Amino acid sequence: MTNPIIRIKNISKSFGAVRVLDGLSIDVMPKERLALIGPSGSGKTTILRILMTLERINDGHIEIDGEQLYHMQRAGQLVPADEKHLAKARQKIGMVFQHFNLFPHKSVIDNITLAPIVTKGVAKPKAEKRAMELLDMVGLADKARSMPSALSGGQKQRVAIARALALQPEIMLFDEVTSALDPELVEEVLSVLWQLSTETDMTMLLVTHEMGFAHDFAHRVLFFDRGKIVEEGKPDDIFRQPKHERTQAFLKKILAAGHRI
Amino acid sequence: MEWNWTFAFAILPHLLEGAKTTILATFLGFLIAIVLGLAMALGRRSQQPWIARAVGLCADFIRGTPLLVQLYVLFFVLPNMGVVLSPLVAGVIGLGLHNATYIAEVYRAGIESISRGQWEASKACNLGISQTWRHIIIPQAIPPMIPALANYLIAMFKETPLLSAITVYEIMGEALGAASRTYRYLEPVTMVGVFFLIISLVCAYFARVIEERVRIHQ
Amino acid sequence: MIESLSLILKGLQTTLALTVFSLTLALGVSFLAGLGRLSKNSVVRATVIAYIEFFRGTSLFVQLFWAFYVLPFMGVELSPMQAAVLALGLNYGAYGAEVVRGSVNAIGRDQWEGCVALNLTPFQRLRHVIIPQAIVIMLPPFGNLAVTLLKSTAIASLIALPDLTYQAQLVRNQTGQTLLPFAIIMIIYFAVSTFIKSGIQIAERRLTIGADRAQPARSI
Ligand SMILES: Nc1ncnc2c1ncn2[C@@H]1O[C@H](COP(=O)(O)OP(=O)(O)OP(=O)(O)O)[C@@H](O)[C@H]1O
Ligand SMILES: [Mg+2]
Repeated sequence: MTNPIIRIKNISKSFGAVRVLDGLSIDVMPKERLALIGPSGSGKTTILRILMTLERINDGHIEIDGEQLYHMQRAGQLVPADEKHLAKARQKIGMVFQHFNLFPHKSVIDNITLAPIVTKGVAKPKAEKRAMELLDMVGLADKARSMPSALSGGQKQRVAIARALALQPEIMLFDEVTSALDPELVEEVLSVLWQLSTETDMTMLLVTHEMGFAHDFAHRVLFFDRGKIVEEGKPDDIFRQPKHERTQAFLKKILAAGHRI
Repeated sequence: MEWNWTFAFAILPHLLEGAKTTILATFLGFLIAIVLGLAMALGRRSQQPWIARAVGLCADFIRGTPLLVQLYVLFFVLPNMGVVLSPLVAGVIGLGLHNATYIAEVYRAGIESISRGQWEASKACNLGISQTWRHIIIPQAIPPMIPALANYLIAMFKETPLLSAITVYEIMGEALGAASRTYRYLEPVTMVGVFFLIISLVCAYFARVIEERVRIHQ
Repeated sequence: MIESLSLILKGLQTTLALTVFSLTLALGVSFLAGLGRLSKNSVVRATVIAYIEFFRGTSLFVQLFWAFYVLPFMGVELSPMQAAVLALGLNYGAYGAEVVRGSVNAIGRDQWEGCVALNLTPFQRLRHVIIPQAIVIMLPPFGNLAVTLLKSTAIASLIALPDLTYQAQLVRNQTGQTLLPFAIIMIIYFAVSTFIKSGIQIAERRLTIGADRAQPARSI
């Protein structure tokens, strides 16, 4: 029996008086692909941001690969993690954002090689060779020297995926990576994700409103509402026979809005 | 050198006398700056291209040269041409003229921030040019300018010590006078510094309050 | 006439040297204080705020006289040039610090978060991502500061530093002419200001070309 690679134990998160996550627990097994779905404001992004250490938790514990994320051992006691500990924990995790967050002053290839070169000390030629392989994979080898401003949204997002992969994370977080895109560009990004799911065995957490894709992509689907998991299960079960009425209502609304499953 | 309180108290009345002149010069200079600045801003918008060009060039030249040298010109050169100004008048004109070129930019930005739609709507309401300015443009353009104008007032205040170079007995002039009589610089110069620091901090506080107000009103 | 001109040219050298030295000091201090202002450490922040408020609050003129006339009594003997560089550098550093802070703050949160996701250290975030973008925003205000600093160097003549303004006064005293020396140095000051401004404009254009400035505002 293997251990979970991500272990979220009873975490809570508030913004001011608003409790966004409320005693949430999730275990994610290595190589597992998880889809997080739910209405707007239910806390999906917040979970990913917490795993990426972009937000702090108010309560609870998170373990990545058996190591505490927000806490560390000091003199036999658990104390809040310092920046050094966080940096070490972050090595295993990569994230792709809804709005790409590319560095506008760097070319495509420099966006990808920056982190390997400065955080891991990879030699430049080696980093560039690896970057070219990744660009090839996402179908943008010819754009290596372009500036991000010269790319379409779909291309930007594919560069952002390549950039995150360049650090070879064990866990990838995708936060609505297609919702800032024009509809005709969604497919090119989803096909990259699909390729990742078939060719690698990374652990992936996907927040999406693309229910059809979530169905095919994920091993397990979590339906969120108001900071809590309302229902979870295999894609077929959640999408075809949702048990909880809030899941049913949510899916009905999504379907009515023209999304397909 | 030890701080000498007796000496400090002895020169305090002189410094306070000088402070009055400092404040007077600041406000007179500011008055000149806001009036001349408006004239420059309007001159730059003139329909006659050569007027606009000439005003622009003059403003650039004044802005590109030191206030101190301009003060020298007003004080040393003008008398040769038959224009004799008292130190204070020369100082106030120099201070006002120099800062008018900056304040003209504040006006320009303020006027340009009013969208073309406002002009067009005024036309559609059948307002004349002067009515448009009076009722539509100026009331909208002025509030956002106030913080910037306040900043220039504070900046001018801190520039007034320069006037001591043309023998205006503002606070710095008084301090340097006392210092050269006694060869003690510590107390007079430090006291002037404290004077400026206190007034600046108070002004900065009020400037922030005004800025908040303006923001809320928008 | 020739003699007057050579006096003034010597003054130009001094003015240029003073400008370059003070600008260098001001730039260094601007970055230190501007980034310190953004530090998480509240002691650092408070120190920097005190520095900025102090140097912006007490007039540059007073600072210059203090550096030249009062510091010697505290055992720090400075030449006119040293006193002027110190006063101008620290004074403009305080204004520059606000420029640095403002430009760094103008870089969107998405850029910082991108850095965290790539596991860059706080220093690497600044060095590779934030400052290169912030520099483009800083250039115009720094250009204005540089021109203002150049103009402010004239007050160093009042502590007997033989700069342009001092030499013009000297010529006035020696020859009795008033218009000519002042007109000449005004033209020189104007030429140097214009040179600085166009230098900044060129740099700005260079930095902007190729960089991704044209990104449309995100609609979220
Ligand atoms: N920085 C913040 N400050 C205050 N409130 C926040 C902040 N970030 C998120 N929230 C709030 O937390 C709640 C959960 O937000 P989150 O972004 O996680 O939702 P989501 O499930 O990703 O929604 P969406 O589908 O719209 O992206 C929302 O109510 C949001 O307004
Ligand atoms: Mg979200």
